[in-house]
Amino acid sequence: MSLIMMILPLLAGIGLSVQSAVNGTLGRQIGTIESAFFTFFTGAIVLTIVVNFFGQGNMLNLHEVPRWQLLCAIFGVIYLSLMVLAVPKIGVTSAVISVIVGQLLASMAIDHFGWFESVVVPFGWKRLIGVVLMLAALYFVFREKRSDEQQAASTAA
Amino acid sequence: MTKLFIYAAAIIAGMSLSIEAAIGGALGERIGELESTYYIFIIGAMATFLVTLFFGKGNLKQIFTVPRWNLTGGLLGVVYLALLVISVTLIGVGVSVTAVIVGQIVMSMVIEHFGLLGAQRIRLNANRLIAAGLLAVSFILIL
Repeated sequence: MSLIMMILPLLAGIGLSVQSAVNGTLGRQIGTIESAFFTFFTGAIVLTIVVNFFGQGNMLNLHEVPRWQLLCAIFGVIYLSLMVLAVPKIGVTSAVISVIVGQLLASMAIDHFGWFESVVVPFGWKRLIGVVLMLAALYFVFREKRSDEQQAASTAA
Repeated sequence: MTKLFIYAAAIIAGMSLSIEAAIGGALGERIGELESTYYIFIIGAMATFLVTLFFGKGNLKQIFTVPRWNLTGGLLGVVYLALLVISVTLIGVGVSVTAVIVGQIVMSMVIEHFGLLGAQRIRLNANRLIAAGLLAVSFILIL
């Protein structure tokens, strides 16, 4: 596995983190659902240009792919809707931790069972220890923050 | 009890992100990775447009008055999803999503350390350095 391939998803994660910060700020001004729409809308505009210049596939094949593959678009919307529901009730920090737990659970299961035409990567001891260490890391990152938020919530209530 | 449901909802939200990446990657193999990302954004824009029309309580017009950097979320979303879909087809979902999480946490520690992008300032401390070390080891194990 070459280093360059690892850099792609790391950059994706950096993009996602900057995006949450930016969209959090925008959402407070124009509303959460509105900022989600604005994000998809401007992203679609950017991609209209990018796909025209750099796209090497064929959009028209959309009509020939297995129908279940078209469902990928729904999951992004499910994610956003559930976050809009969860964040005000349990706070950003708890929501982010739960999301990461969900991301890990599902991606390890998909690899293990080879769902959605993916290559099978069995869930062994190494991955189990990796997941546990990841959860330990989350604990250390969010330790103080979470108690801050809970205090703020209890004084507010 | 209801709180438990909310936590479950947030976990399902995270699962949705991984499923989106996995199916987006599978679709990318047939129609192209950028095209797959494009498709997700178009459907996402249409769906959230309807939701905004019927349930929106905010004010979209404010986009003309907020600082310009607040408007870059779409571009960042494209960077995230396109890179993720490409890497899923190259190295699989598990490793890709793990790398995304590592990049995400490290970057949010950087953002908070410097108090960038309107975030509350939280300096790097012992806890956060331990976390960074654990993340690195965990990443190597999951590879």
